[in-house]
Amino acid sequence: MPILSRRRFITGLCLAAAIPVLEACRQAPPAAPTAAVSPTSAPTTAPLSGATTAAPVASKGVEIEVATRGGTDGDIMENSVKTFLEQTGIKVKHVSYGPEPEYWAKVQSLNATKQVADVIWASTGNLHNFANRGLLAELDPLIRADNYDLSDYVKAGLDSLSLNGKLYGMPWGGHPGNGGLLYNADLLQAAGYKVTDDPESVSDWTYDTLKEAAVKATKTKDGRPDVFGYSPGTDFLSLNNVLGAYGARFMSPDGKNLTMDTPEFLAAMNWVRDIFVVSKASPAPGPDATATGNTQNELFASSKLASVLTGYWGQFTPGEKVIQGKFKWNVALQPKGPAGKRGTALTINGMTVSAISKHKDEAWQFVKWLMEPENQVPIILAGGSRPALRKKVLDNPRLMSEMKAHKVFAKAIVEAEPWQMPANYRWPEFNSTVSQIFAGVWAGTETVEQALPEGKKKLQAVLDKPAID
Amino acid sequence: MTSQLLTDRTGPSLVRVQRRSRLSPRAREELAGWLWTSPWLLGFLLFVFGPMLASLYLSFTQYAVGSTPRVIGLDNFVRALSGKDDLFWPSMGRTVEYALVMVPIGISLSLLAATLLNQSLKGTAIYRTLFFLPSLTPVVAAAVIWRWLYQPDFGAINWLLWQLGVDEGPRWLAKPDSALPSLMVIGLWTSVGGGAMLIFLAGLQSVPRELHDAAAIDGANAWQRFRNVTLPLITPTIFFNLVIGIIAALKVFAVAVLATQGGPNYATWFFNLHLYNYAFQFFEMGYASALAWIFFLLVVTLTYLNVRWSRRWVYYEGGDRP
Amino acid sequence: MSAAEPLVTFARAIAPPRSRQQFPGYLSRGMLYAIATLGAVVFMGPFFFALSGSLKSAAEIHIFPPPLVPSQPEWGNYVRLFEMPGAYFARWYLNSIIITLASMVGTIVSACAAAYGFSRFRWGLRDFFFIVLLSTLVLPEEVVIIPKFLLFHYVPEALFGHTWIDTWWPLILPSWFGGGAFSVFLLRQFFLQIPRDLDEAAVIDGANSWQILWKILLPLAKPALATVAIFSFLTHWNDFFHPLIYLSTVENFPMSVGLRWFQQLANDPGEPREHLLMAASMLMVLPCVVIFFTMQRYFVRGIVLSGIKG
Repeated sequence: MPILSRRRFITGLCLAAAIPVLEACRQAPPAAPTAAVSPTSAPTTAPLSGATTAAPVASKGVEIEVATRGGTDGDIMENSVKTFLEQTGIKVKHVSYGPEPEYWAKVQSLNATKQVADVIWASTGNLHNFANRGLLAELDPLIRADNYDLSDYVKAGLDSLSLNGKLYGMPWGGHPGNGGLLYNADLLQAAGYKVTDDPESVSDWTYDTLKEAAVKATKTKDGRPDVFGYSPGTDFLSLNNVLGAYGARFMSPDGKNLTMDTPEFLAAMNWVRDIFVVSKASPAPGPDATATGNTQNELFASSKLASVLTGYWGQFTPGEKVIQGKFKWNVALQPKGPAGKRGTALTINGMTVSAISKHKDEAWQFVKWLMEPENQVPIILAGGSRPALRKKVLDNPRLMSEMKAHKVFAKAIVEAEPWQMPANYRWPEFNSTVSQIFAGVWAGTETVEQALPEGKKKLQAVLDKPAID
Repeated sequence: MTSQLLTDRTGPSLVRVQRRSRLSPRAREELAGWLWTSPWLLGFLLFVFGPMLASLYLSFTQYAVGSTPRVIGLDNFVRALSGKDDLFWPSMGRTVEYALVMVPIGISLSLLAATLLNQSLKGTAIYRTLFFLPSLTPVVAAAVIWRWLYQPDFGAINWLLWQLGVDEGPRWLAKPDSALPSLMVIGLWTSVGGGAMLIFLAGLQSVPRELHDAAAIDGANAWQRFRNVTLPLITPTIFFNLVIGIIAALKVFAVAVLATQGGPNYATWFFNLHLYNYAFQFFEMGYASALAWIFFLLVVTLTYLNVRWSRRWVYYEGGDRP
Repeated sequence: MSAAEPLVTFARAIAPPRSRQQFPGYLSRGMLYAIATLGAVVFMGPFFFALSGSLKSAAEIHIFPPPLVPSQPEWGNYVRLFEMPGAYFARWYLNSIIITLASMVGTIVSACAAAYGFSRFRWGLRDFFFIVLLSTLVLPEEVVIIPKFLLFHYVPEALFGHTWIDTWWPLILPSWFGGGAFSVFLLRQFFLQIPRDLDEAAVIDGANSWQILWKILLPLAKPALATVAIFSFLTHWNDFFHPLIYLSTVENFPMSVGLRWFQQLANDPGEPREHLLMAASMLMVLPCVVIFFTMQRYFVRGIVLSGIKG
């Protein structure tokens, strides 16, 4: 081969090999904290409640890491760390561990290799698990040393991030457990309901109303589905909304036994089944609970779906950027059920400190800073988080006036029922099992009663396992 | 140099003993053999054998990453094989079911595609690339595309069926009964036209023309020629693809994670997914290692059986394999 | 015996006989074309959706059912990919190229060495280790990934003071140590078919083992080398599992993991991104298509000549 002689081929190979070798050498290992100074700094002299600028006495040259799920969370955190640096001089590096469920895998594997970030985002489902296994630092000593005032915080929020009376995370963002109804006001009006884009106009709806509206809003065109009325969720949190409204729960408060035999439980599950199978007012459920997420948003934005189960973030997903004024919409709270209440579960996005962090003080300063209203409000307005569980944020006038639906959520968050946590903290397993066992019911191949025996067996097996240690 | 070699060939005692020839040619060959193979050997010890031993050890422990392993003897294996882990046998069953369907159909279709491409049609290179394209697609993209296509209400497949008069198309990935076959279709789309087809193509091209011509002269028609000339001669190729194909089918994982998450109702809960869950979601590394070893032993056994069975029907042209 | 004779004999042997399994006569050539085209359509169909999706605008991507042809091809999507905040496509693409090339070179070099050792020398335990080599083809990665993860963390830390997790070393280094059983196997089979007479002739002319490999075997092995190169490229370019486990910093991802990352981003509040996801997938497939299309002749030839099919 005249063009590619052996010599040239080999030279090319060597060059090709040289580049990656050089590049690989250039790859810096993950940033180890470049602490040259002793990390124990003198605590701030003034208590911080009410202080607008955090002015800790931090060691210069310390760098800590904060981990998020990336994406929008990450973008917003990038801005936050920049501002934090300007205000306090402490460098924080943002690392993104990927979306769930990879996020949890990363936290644990990096913890094993002692490289995990100093500040870790952890939500209610997984936080207890980690705390129980010693991955998270207790915050009480840091709070005490700082004389930090917790009176502004919603007690339920702090309780839900505590294990055995010890606090492990600050309630950086919370919501009442999905619990939102994203609705297309125009489509519902066309179906004969007096709703506007003020969420209060939907506030007196019951589950019966919702079903009726869903059926009325469902339309076909030339025999093909054209518009659907409502898309329920099929994962734990979404089902919990319906269950709570009917006065049912998955498990007993002590997290050891199932409570799935009650007539209320059956009634609630059958309501969901009805939407899928009997009234056919919903698009087909996905094979897994998350598969439909994007589809639902797409359908809603194309005016093919009149309402969707969502959460606080429904104000942004799909959001005005996508809808672009094609129709009037908003997010209301999920309807009330026969038990006279809405189903809720206080869900918190917590900011925690790693137990093996070498700079716990600086980490705490950052966490504290993140909880300040001035730092919270811009993030929430941009759709980057849910409101923190402190009154100054929940009652914040800007949020009340500028957000589409904050005012209905603020109250619901405070009044939300506690999260159902298995006694062995194996919530992720419980959650994924719930997503699986009822799939046949939503697809119409079996009834709720038929699916229950096997499903209960599997769920009780999860509850009976020992805690992961 | 030459004289040195000559001297070495005739015996160790003669004339000059230079530093180079301290070793006999036999010993030099031995040393050279080891030296040339040493990178692979080192890699094998470091990256295969060592980790395998480590995972074998872990399989007898309870180990959540972050703590120290705690030896618990055979508990992990008992837990899996006795059914205490109620998803172990079902996931094994799903995987075997998947392989039982995928492998025969996949190999037959690959052979068909290879035969087609062997016809010296114009534009074979283009056809070959088009056939190969799905196997080049990143699995993430393939899963997204197929989820879209399979959407029961708005997806393209049901829409096409509706054009053909089918009013309510199947629920595909949403129903437990149809989810596994739907995944098989995705699996076939990705693999037929891929490496197996290329290897068949190579095998077909090695069948000497003379044999075909001779058979044609004797009056054999196309099918008879295929059955009696081509097929026996490509049995080694079939065997190779069978071994690789079975192993690949048993390892199915990515498409289940991305398209169905193992659902609905565990219909596509493959063994690898089960293992991955325990290793990287629940962090029970000891149990996951035990599962990995059970899988490994299964695959080794199957491959061995495959090899033994192949002696009956595989015909090697040059006599037995070296 | 001159060195030329065995060479000629071998050259004749490797010229592939063009044989053809003919289809029954009643299947005219036209029908064969039809079948081939139908096959191509079936394989390409889903792909076509991705391609058309990649050319749609953000508003159009949300129409159900998706129209086959976008109203206005948005080639700008491909540019927009590189400007996305939070996604680092240019970086990811480069990463993929570097990691894949480095692994390819390593595979070729070390697989040649190992294949040479297995085919041209007699040494103790050779056949035993060859069986071991074959059995590693059967090895599921899950069996070893956890210890490998720990290996790549603790050993470099002990030796060099910092870990190799979240670097590219775990992805590239194993290729330089044997390059995978498949490559060694293929090359070994190929080398076995090259007549030893050529070797002996070279020895008489005073060559040592390195020169035999370099001057005799490798020039004849070009098709097999090309095959190993292509297989290695495809394997490493599309590898998803290993970078997923070893890497955490987003800027270090190759395209395969970056794509998954980006897919999850599409779930975020904000603009829909499915069309961009499709565009990214197209970009990722492109080099594979180009390489395959241009090198496929070598590819098939390499498999033929290596005798791996028999």
